[in-house]
Amino acid sequence: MKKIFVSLVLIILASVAYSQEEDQLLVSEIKQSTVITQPATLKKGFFRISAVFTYGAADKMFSDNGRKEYLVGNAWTRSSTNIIELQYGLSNSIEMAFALPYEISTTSRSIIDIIPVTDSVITTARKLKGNGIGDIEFAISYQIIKGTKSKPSLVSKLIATFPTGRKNPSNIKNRWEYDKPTGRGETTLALQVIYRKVIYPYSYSFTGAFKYPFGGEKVLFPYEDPISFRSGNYYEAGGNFNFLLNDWIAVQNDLYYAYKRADSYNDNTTYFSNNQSAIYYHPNISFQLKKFRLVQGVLFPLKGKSISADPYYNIYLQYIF
Amino acid sequence: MTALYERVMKLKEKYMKYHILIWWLLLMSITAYAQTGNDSILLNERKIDRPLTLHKGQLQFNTAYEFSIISQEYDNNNKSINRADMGTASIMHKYSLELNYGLLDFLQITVDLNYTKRGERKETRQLYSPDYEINYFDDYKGFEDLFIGTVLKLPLKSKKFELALSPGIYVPLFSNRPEAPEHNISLIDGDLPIIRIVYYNNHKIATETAAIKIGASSIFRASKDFSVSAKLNYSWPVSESESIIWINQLNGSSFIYYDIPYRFLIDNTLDYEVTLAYQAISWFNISLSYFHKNKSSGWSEITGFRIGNPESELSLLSIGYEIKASRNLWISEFIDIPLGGRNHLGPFSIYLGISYNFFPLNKN
Amino acid sequence: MKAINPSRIASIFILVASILLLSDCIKSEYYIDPESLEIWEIYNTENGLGCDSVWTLAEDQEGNIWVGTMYNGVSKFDGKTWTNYTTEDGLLDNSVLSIAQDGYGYMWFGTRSGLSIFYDNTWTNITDFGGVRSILRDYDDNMWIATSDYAVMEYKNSTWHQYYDSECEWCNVVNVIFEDKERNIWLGSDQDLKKIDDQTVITYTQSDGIPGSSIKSIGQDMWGNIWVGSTGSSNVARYNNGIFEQVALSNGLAVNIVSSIAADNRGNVWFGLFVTGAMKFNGSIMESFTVKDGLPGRSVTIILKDKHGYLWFGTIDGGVAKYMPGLD
Repeated sequence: MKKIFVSLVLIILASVAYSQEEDQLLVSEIKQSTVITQPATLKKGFFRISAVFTYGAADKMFSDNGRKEYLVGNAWTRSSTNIIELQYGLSNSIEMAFALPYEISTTSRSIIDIIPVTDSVITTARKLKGNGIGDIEFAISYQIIKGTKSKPSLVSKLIATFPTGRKNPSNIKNRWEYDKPTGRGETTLALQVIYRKVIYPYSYSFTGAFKYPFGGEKVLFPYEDPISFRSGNYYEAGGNFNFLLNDWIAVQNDLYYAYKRADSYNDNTTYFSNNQSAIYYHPNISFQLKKFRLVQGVLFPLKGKSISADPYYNIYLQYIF
Repeated sequence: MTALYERVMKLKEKYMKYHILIWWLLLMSITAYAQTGNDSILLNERKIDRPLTLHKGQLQFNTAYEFSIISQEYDNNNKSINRADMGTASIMHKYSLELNYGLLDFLQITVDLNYTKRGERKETRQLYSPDYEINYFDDYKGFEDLFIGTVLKLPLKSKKFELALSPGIYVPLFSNRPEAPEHNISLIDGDLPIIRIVYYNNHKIATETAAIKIGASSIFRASKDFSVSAKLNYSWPVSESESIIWINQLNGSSFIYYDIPYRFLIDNTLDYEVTLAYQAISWFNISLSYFHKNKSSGWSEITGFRIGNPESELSLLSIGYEIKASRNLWISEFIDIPLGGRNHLGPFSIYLGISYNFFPLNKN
Repeated sequence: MKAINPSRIASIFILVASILLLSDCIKSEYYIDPESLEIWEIYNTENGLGCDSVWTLAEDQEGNIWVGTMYNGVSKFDGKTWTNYTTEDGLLDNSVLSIAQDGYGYMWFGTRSGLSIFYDNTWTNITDFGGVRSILRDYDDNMWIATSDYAVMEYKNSTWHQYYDSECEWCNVVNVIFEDKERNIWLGSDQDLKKIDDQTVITYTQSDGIPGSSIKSIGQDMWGNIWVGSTGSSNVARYNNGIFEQVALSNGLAVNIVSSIAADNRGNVWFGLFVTGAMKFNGSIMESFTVKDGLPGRSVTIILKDKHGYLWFGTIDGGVAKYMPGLD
């Protein structure tokens, strides 16, 4: 499977690298800013509104020893995060952003109880839903080094999330039927640094990020008492390489490593979580038509430990004005 | 035929690990010698204007990824069963590689290979006294049978209407024998200890059956920007095939396995597709298709009895587009929506394809 | 160079395609139509069976199924019609406990009153040995019968030989005789289990792991394990390499009567039970089959696998069911 995937990537890269496209790439003057050529932060007075849709289904996991395994139990979980994001250029170097997510998640199970002594067979279908507003996010980005056509840019971004999403199970019918939480239940603060260089029609960047959660208190399972907890610190490092196919189609390739320390549950040894890590590959294809942009991509976990191994599909629509 | 098949299998085993390097080198060498001559055809030709066969000397690599969510299934009465609510929905990943070459302006050869992966769960069963929790999991993965075919465009005078025939064969290159199961048993401690068994069965996708396919395709260009096309295919197996089924015995806390051979005959398949396409801009084409497939007349002795496969059908609606990113590179994306069926899974699929076209050998 | 004529190539393609299509039409295969598939076929007095209370089943060399009933003699099924034989036809007793066919094609019926041998419309009745509970034809075509008065008798080289345990009276009340693939003869009695290997007799009792008090059934699975079913236990026993391992029936009852054991062609072992129908063991777990699954009666007295792989279930009050395993 991996060999086939790598082959596909090589073929795509080769075909683009060697194709005689000079005359297909139109003029050197850029007619519109694409994901490759847009400034590192929005210019002063500009707004960008994005509608993001993501979808994933739980099918595989990376085990504690990094082996990719199917989730063999009878359960079908599909989840989707839909985000409205608004970005605004305060100045040519400072950008503010606000994101409001809406979570949709469903887990379905069906169990057949066979009781020979009474000769009865009982089928029970259970559904867990988690629909609702998630944790909102504020971000402020500052271009430390302003990027130009010949110079790279260096941006630092501070991101704060607030626990506006429902943090406890609700609408509890029994231990196996209730509404799942839609938020993490804690405030987090993250710092991200992005170094980007544009060499038309290519660009590349390196990213590093660190997230610090402040912890909180929440109910983990129905009928239980609230428990103090703190999510593990999160670290991320990676880069991407992007290129324009033509004036309005761009391909982005993100590759990054993410590591999250185990969550801690104060004074409680009943609950346990593992350190999680993964290497992700996130290709996107972006179509730009004047001020509209449509981006589609899939997030592939290539390797990992104690983390989901399923691809996550994303599509977002942006408009800049 | 058998000797040739064995030789091919041996070569495949020997060189499989080098195949990426071989593909890469082949592609590099071909592209290095690519000429600009007929590239102008590719530059100016819209999708709606493309003939049913490639141009002479045109080489086409098509790669695609298809992601399918199988959350429903159609029963024998065409009724849809919601697998998602039962917790038995599944995801299928399919990777395709197709190579086409225009031998002549009206004759094209095709080689098509697909790799599919899917994991399917059944409903959990709980037994009592002693207490058991039993999970059933079926892992389907592997290559499909290799397809080699030709497309011959008939010499019709009209530029608006084209007709082509497309015979081909499925070559049984890959084994259909599944690996031994990976069942496991464990004791879950608790207030009431439960014995958990996971029956993990492996399955192959290839049928290892030689089959013949004949087909026809046509296109009618109703106007400069609008076309209607149709395809019809019929395939059938050349002979019966054999595979194995595994039975198990629990020996202490581990399972031992034993295989039993059985014979089967794959179904005859008839499928057709009708497509309406609109060339919105010279580089952007959108299409709407209706696809229907019917399979019948196969049988299997997997139970020990020769029982016919139930007749199955599937209808899909496909909506998609193709964008010509450059003269050589075309990107297509489709969504397949299941409309109905019988004794068939109902997959909702997203298909992303990339087609690279060039003339490796021609000079102009 | 002469240009290649596409019309000529098209003609060749069409001709080849027609031949290939025709070859497909010629090919035809017989198989069971899934639309008309009957997983369970029920036979009772309504469709020709002599009596709904069934003690035993057997298959002869022609593939006919013979049903020994509790009150109305024996019924023969050739796949389409039933023929019944009672005391009026010459059968010794209408309560038929066991059936087997010998190497000459004679049908042997073990009844409450003795042995009844049938061939070519002629009956030969033997009452010397008392009631006959079990009959076996071994690999060497010798006939073994378990009797009420004379323990076990073997008919070999036209002579009767007796197997009698002088040290254990209850051990001579043999309920079942079975031959395994290694040609060992197994005798299940009210007290013990005996394995006869050439001329060696090995005796197993509850202390060796035999469940329950009285052995009612013996069978062998595809793996070569010997299975033993009895009265008065919640388990059955699996014998391999000299060791008996108890396997729970998992039917929720502490006490069972395991009337019959049979193995299908897919590695499953079936246990016929009184009151709770049948249990299927797939190698690791037991699954229950009852009236709700298609069995015609709650109590199964006998399970027979025919030469095609079908399983036949005889019941106390529901007649006989022919079952196609593997589709459950």
